[in-house]
Amino acid sequence: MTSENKRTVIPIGPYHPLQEEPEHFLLYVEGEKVVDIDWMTGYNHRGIEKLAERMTYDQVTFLVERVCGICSTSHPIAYTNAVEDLCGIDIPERAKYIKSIVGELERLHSHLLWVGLAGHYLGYDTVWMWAWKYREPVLDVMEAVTGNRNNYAMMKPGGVRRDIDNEDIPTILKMVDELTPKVELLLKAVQDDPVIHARTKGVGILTPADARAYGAVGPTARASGVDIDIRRDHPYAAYNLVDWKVITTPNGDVYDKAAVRLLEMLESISIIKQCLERLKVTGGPIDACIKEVPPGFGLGHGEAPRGEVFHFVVSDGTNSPVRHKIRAPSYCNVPTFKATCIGETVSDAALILASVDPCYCCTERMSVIEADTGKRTLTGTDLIRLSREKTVRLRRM
Amino acid sequence: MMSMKSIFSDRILEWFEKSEKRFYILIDASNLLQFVDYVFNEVRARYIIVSGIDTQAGIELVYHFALDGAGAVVSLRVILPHENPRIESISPIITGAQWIEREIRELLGVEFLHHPDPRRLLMAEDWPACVYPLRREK
Repeated sequence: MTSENKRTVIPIGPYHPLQEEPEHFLLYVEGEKVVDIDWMTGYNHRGIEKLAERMTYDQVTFLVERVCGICSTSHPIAYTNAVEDLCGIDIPERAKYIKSIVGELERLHSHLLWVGLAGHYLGYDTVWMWAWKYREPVLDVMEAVTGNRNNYAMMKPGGVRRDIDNEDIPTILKMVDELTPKVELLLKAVQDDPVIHARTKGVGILTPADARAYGAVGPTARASGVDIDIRRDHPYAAYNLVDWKVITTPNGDVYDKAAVRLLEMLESISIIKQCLERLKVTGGPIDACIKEVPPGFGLGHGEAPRGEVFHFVVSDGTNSPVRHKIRAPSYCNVPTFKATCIGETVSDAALILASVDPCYCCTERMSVIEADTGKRTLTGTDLIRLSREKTVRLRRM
Repeated sequence: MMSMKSIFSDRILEWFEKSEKRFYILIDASNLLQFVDYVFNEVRARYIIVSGIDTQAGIELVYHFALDGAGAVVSLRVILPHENPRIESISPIITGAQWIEREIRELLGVEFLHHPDPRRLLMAEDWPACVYPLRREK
């Protein structure tokens, strides 16, 4: 038997009802060790860029809201930034605050979703239950602000669609205030647990050089000490009008990726509170009322929970874009697995894939197949069991 | 950015500043690697993505790079002929560009020379050859 035949291929994916975008990962393993990783994608290519060419600028906002179910306001934010760049206009100050509030609420709910799933894979189902329990009040705030728990339809080129009533602000502020101790509790749970440290520290390290070579963005890059954040570097909405700081950690492992997200949530809460306070004293319109879109190029970014969302709009002066290019953060973050998974064990690989937050419920579909016979030897449930058993072993040590 | 303008002055076909934070530089396809190497390795700009557009003049590729310190975006533009469009791959310089080059090859039919991994990315295996979804009808 040659060494080639000893390799086992573990396919992960491609379909799972919880996934936003089906992807199919293939882990090549020798024994427990991952020696290579490959992926197939395109299972759910919906042709959104092509669809945008047949819609008006206003309609495209609703289209891009459906690019992703979790970060459904990040794409409209980046898209409206692009159209505003194309038109060369600035939006009213009140609209800027509302834009930031919705963007940060989305980051909170998305990060809490991630913390919960990460806890589940580690075998910490209490963390999972708690994180998702605490995600509910965030969605309640979102409903109070936008009228919806998801797909908020708040953005439009030139401003926002719906104002926040100043009379509601004290109630919303109280709801947001109540989130702080909950996030701090989760943060302490991760920081103080020696088993979580043992499972995640030094695992799946992404070096700053690799982060740059792959163009990694968001928490994935910031956990490797790469100090980039679109909110600060390419300011949009109200991010240059309030005080906050970019969170970076130096090590690039799974632990740091979790720490960046948890610490970022506290910053998000602070941004939301400051924006709400400013709204009380900032009147004026919420829409710059764009009448015409001139011919030319428009570029827009936004910092989504997973990193930079980038939209490029080309106009010929009609009321539909000629070309609309969208780049979601996972498009740059997922290829970093080539740098982070190789050399790690199978039970850690699930965690590393999860640490990038690539809509990663796909890992539940993992199964091990013998490369030469095609025989299925391990199911997805078995792999989660492997990961959880490792945590149990570490706990007993 | 101004140093780039002077260093490459003889190789820039069109320099367009849409605003102080948006640079669009039209260059010849044969000089692409020099520009990308300079922007990525010398200026240390962050690679964002490549956009492909089918225009009347040809297939246009727009290579976007972020200057995060300055809050600016530099976009290198090249225009390739409709007949047999081909260009050097930038993936040997920027690992992260592999996916988008594979995507553009499938959606617009641009051949990327010396691409390290020129397999299909998005389209189904039985998708017909020479049919490109983002090409416009003549």
